[in-house]
Amino acid sequence: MSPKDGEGVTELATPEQSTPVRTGSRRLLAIVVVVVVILLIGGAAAYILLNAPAPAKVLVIGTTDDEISFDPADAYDYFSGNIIQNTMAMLVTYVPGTTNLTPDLLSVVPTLANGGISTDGLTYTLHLRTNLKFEDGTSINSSTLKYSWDRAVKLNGLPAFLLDYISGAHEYFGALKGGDATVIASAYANYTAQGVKIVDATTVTVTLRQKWSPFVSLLAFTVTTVVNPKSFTNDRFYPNVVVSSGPYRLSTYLPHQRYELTANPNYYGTPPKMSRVTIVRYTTSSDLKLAMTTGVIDVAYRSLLPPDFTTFQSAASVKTLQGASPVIRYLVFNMCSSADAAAGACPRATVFSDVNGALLRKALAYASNRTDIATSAYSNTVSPLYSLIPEGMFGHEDVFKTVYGASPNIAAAQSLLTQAGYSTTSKLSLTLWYTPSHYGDPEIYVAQALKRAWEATGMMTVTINEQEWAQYKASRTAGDFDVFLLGWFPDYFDSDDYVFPFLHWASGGSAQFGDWYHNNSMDAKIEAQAAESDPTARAQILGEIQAGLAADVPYVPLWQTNQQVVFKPTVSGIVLDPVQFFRYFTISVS
Amino acid sequence: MPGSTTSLRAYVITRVILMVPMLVLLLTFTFIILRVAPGDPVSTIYGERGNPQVIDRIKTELGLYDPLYVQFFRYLRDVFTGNMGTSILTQRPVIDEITSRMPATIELTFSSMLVASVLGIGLGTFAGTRRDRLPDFATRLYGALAYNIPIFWFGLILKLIFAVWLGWLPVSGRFSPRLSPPPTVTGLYTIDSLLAGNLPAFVDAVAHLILPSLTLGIVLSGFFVRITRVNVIHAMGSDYVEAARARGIPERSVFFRHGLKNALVPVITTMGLTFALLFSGAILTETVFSFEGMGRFVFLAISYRDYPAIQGAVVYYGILMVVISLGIDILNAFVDPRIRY
Repeated sequence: MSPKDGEGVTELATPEQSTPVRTGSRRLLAIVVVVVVILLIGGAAAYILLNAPAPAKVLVIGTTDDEISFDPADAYDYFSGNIIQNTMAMLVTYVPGTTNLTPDLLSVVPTLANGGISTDGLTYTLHLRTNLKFEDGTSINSSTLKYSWDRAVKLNGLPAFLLDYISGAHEYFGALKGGDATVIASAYANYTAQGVKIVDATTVTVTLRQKWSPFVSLLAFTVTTVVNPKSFTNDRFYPNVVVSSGPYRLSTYLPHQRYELTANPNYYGTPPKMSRVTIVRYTTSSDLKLAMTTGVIDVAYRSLLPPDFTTFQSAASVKTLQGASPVIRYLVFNMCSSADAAAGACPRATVFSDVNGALLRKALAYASNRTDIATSAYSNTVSPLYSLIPEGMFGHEDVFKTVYGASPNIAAAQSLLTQAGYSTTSKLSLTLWYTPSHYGDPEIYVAQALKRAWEATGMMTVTINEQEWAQYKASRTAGDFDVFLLGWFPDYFDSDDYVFPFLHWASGGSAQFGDWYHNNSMDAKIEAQAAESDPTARAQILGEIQAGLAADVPYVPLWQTNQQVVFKPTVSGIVLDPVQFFRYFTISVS
Repeated sequence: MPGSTTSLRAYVITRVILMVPMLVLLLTFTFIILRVAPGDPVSTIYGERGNPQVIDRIKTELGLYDPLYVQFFRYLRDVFTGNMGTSILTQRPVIDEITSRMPATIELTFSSMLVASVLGIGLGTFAGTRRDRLPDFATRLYGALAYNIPIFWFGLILKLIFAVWLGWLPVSGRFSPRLSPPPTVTGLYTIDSLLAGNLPAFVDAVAHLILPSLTLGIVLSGFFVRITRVNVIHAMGSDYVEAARARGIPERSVFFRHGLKNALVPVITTMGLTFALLFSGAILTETVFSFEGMGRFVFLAISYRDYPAIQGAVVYYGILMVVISLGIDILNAFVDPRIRY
């Protein structure tokens, strides 16, 4: 290759001569910049300038809750239930701000005094109002009421077990498990013949297989409301259908995103304050906070992070409100006894089992610091809880406060630990389990607060450990945990739902929590209070149950959550009642 | 070119046929992994309420007590007869869940790919033609930063600046709560509002897309910048480009007809696969901006061991990957005639 040839090759390969390329690239870059700038500024300007003005009467509520099913026969989550309660009238409902029942679709709340409850406590007579209609004009009468209850039992959805006390239902549910089609059909026929009976166009009677005083509370729950037979056939669930009988109708529905409610012209009662309500779902609490901060929404309800709520409390541009909630949080001990473990009734005995275990459970009850939890984890947005039956619920007594005190009693805890054979040199070693996301971000701080409190005895070493919810549930029911954190939202708003599932051994109640508390006398008391219709007598039995709870310490009640709502000063009519029914129809925005 | 067309057609037919065993393999792995993981869907979702009868009943209805091989073959049969089942978590048919969340994902995917492509190819080309000079260093730095920036954090920062501080753009969601969404035709707010002739709604939908698509697009552009730059450098230094220059072809034509066109073949492949990935959902971006898309759906499904939902998403995603990779191959064949299948 000659030097000349070489020069020629070099010249061809040199990109420095490619001026047109640079020109092309500059143009390309210019296009890039222009497109991005147009996207950003043009979009923003257009958004500001062209956005249509807000319609005059729209209330916008933001939430992080999500829906699952709007079918009353299958709805069993908070948000779905709340949409149903705002779009469908219940048979009875709660007086706003209280736990007192008042008629809704019924003309009167059944009681012993008015003859709505038979003297043996087994038959309930329900009188519907006259001229009730669904949003499409279909009549609501005793036939539709019976149809709705029969459908709920037949489909055996998630809340159907609450109807188990209706005569014939228990046998039908049992037949379903057997799987024999003939037996199932026969059991269902028996149920429909004896459970709910039509008396006249507006009256039905419901017969129970045994006395169960919480039954009246069940009339306020979504599973017992009346559905439109035209839209809800009795062979399947309709999770996305709402045919309104209440103040609002669901006019636009984008699953998991937004729900537009408009006034139902066929509602029998007082029309809602706003003709239109839009509920917007945000995927994170921080988004909900930002939406409230920037004024996109009028009301933020469920669920802001505790520090964000505290920040809003001191902000002048918004108002805040807190109210009691039926949600309780507690500590669970795996107290599977050696005898039950040997009999195969529970997985294994733990350090909290038997006589020595009782000393340790009491020691932890003495040492637990509810104030620290409320402060460090929840910025004082929760209330200490001293019984499984929360404050505001019938029969509530602060039994743990009475027995163990309102604040930690380290000396008493040390004494019990010493009795159990532990000391500052021979410490009790524990693993406290929690689940990091199911109950929200503060859960780790709760675990840390408990660790601090227990280790303050100087006789315990506490390790904190976590599992994601799916595994956490499997582990606790398998008996893998000794002590762990859990929470409860009631199925129906009656004290029974705070004792029966927790403490009743024979029904498998305590086992489902991973607790395995076994006390036959407690079982008898729980059954007695459920059958007792005299309030005074029932309160006395509930008192005995709670005293037993404090004496045996299968659980340590820790705190009761509070409902929190943030709203613009132009918003009025928000009521936070103890049953956590958030009424959209009482709220207005000026 | 009849020969080329025939070979491409044969290739497409082969790929479509191969899709069946590929899907079966994919479904098999998914099925096994789900069953091996701890926890079952019913207990996870409903167990807290604790009614053993209900849990038992639902498990029976779902066939979770059947032997695994029975569950597996039933599952395969359902998939190949178009029945993806009902989500245990949401109680809605899986196909409905996917179709209701797809519009959000489609809008986010297209808009963020637009940002990523314009920025990535533009800046990558810009840097590639100025190798080792200041603009190249600056672009490489941008690429490295954009690619490595935590998307969650970046989204929050953009949101804080443009939505909270400046108030120029909406904070989150797909549509303003005070406006009524356009009647649903495609589910895409941008398209549906245009079809309805509702300009404010269109502007609102576009405005809601800007921050999420910038967040995702800028992060993705970091990768595209790098891959475009490298391929432009490689193409512009190749023999065929030098040969073209030697023939006296104007540099502009050399660059656009020979250099850039060839440099884009691997870029298109990468972008196509990224496109397919985005269709499965961008979980972090969707979460930051409250977009109820496929990413959130799959995340929730996995969190709750929602077998039908996860399996349905895998089928959807498997088909999507095959279709898009096939599309990329076809596109590449047209961009580069040398490619034979």
